[in-house]
Amino acid sequence: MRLLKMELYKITARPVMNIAFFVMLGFFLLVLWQEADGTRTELDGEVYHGLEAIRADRQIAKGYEGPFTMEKAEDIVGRFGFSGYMEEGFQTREGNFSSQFVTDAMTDFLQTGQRPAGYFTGDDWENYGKRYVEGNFWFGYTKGWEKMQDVWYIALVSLHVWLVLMAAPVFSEEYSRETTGILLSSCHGKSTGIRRKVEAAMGIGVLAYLCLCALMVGLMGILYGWDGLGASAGMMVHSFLFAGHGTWSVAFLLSLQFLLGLVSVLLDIAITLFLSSKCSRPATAVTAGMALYFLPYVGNQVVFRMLLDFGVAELPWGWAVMDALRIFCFSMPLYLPHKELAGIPSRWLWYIPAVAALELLASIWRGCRNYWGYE
Amino acid sequence: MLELKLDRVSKQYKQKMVVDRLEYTFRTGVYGLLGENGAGKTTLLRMAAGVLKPTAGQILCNQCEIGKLGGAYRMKLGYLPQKFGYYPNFTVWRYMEYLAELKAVPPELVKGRIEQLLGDTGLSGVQSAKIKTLSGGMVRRLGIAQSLLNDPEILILDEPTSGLDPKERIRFRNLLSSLGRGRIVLLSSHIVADIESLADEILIVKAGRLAEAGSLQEILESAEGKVWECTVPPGQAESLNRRVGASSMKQLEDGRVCIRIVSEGRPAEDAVPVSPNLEDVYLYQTMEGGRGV
Repeated sequence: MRLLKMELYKITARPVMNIAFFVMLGFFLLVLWQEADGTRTELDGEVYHGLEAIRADRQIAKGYEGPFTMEKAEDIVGRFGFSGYMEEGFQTREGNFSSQFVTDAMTDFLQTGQRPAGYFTGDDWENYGKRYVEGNFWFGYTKGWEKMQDVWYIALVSLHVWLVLMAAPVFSEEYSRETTGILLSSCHGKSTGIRRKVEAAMGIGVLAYLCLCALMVGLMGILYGWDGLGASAGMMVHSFLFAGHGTWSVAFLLSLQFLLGLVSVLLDIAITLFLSSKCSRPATAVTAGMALYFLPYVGNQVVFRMLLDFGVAELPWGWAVMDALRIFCFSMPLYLPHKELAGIPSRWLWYIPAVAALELLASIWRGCRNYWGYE
Repeated sequence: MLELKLDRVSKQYKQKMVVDRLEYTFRTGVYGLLGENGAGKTTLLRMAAGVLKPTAGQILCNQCEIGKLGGAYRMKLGYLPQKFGYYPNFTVWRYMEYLAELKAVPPELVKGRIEQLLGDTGLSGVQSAKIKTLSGGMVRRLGIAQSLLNDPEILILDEPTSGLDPKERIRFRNLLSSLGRGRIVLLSSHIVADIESLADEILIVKAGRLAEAGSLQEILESAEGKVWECTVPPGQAESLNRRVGASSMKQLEDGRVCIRIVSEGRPAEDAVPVSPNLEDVYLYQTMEGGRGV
C-alpha cells in the first residue's frame, strides 16, 4: 500500500497538471451550467428562460411520462403545436421540450428544417414515426441527460489528453532520470514495483474519471432533476431506435456509456504505459500517446471515407477491410465511449470488446515486460 | 558462505565485446575493480546487479543463476550505479522510504534504518530537504545510503567516491571498512588510493578481461622489477617522459627532476628499480602493449 502511495505521489507531484485538471473540471461544469441557463421554453403564451424554463418543461413532460402513445402525441400537438425555428437562419426553437420531441421524432422537420404541417405519412410513418407509438417507448424529460451526453464526451476527450500527459512519464521518466539501475536491482523492483506503477496510473485515471462523471451527473441532477432516467434512450438519440436499442432506458444507456468511458480510460492508460515503456524520454511518449489516441479519428473520418470513394467496398474483400478498420477505430479509447457505437452494425459488436480487451492486456503486459527488461 | 561466481560472462553490443568471457569467484570481502574508461567495469557491475543480462555465460550466486533467483537475489543486493538517478522533488526521507519499500525492508525497521544511514552518511540535517537542493557530494552520499538500506549481503558500488571531497571520501572509507565484514563488496573506482585502502582483493580490468587479480601484495608483485626511478635534468626528464611515459615527475630543490617510470626494461642508464605501488601496477597493466591482456 505504501509503495502504491509513493507511485501515486510520483505521478501527481506536478502542480501544473493538477491545476489543469481542476480547471478542466470547472470549465466543463460551467459549460453545463451555461447550457441550462440558455434553455428557452414556451408555455401557455409565456416564454421562460434558464432554470425557470427547465422547471416548466419538466412540469409539462411529467404529464406525459410513461409509455408514449398516439393520444399523447396528439394531445401535445393539440396544446402546443409543432415546433419550428424561431426565425429563418436561427437555430432557436419554438415550443417546449415535449412539442419539440414530437416534431423531431414524428415529422420531417429534421430533414426540411421547416415547421411541419403534419406527421410523417406513408412509408416514412411506417418506418420512423410509428415506432415511437408502438407502446414500448417510454416518454420522459431527458433534456438534461442529452446535454450531458454531448458535453461529457468532449470532457472525456480532454480527460484522455490529460491522462496521456500524466501516464506518459511513468516508465520513460525512470529511463530519462536513470533511476532504473536502482529500482530494477531492488527486491520488488521487477515485480510489485512494476505492478504498483501500473496500478497508480490506472488508479489516477479511474479516480479522475469518476470525479468527472460524478460532478457532471450531480450537476445535471441539480439543474434538470432526475426524471427522464427511466425514459427510452431513443428520446436522446433517435438513431438508437433504428439500431434496435431505442427502448433501452436512459439510465441503462448512460451506465453503459460510463462503463465504456471507464474502459476507454483504462485502455488509454495501458496504451500510454506501453508507449512510455518504449520511449526513453517522456516528451516522446506524450507525442506518441497523443498521436495514437487521435489516430482512430483519421481512420474513421479520412481513411474509411477514402476507401469508400475508391470503391473498395465493391471488391470481394473490400467490406472485410473496411469492417476491420472500423472495428479497430471503435475498439480504441477515442471511439469506445462514443454514442455512435450503439448505431454500428450488431455483427461487429462482439469484436469490439474482444479487440479492446486484447489491446488492454497486451499493452499492459508488453509495457511491463519492456520496463522489466530495460538495460 | 556467500559466493558470487562469474562463469565465462560476456557482454557484447553489436560488434563490440565489452566484457569477454570473464571468470572469477567472489567470496566475502571487499573487491576493488580498477580499469580505464570503457574497460567494462560498469557493464560487469551492472550484470552483477542483475540490471544487464550477459550475452553469454552466467552469474551464479551460491550455485544458482541470479536471473532464476530473481527477487531472492535482489533482496541480498545493494547497488549504487555510476549514474545515480533520483527524483528531484522527493525529500531525502521520502526517497529513502520509497527505496526501503522497494527493497522489502520490514516496515518496523524502516525508520530506524533510515535514521542510522542518514547519520552515517552525514545527511541527518537535510532529511526534509528536497534532493534537488542538495550538493553533488550530498547526492552521492544519499546514493551510498540507499545502497545500504536493506543491509545487503552483496554490495555493488560503481564509482561511489566520484564527486566526494577528501573529507567525505575518508568518511566513506571508514564506513565501508566496517561494512566489508561478512558480505561481498564490489567497488569500482578511478581513485587508486580508495581501492588501495579498502579492497582485500583487486581486479584490474582491461578490454573486458581480467588483466590481474589478487591481494594488494600479489598485485604489487606482478609489477616487481618494472618500476624505475631516476633523477635527471629537466630536459632529459621531458625526453624520457615522451619516450616511455612517466608515472610521476617531481621537481627537486637542485633543479633536477625525480622521475618514476613503469617499463619492462631499464629506461635510462642511471634508473634504479623501486618497489611498485598500486598506481604503478595499474599503469603497467593498462599501458599500451602492457602485459594486461
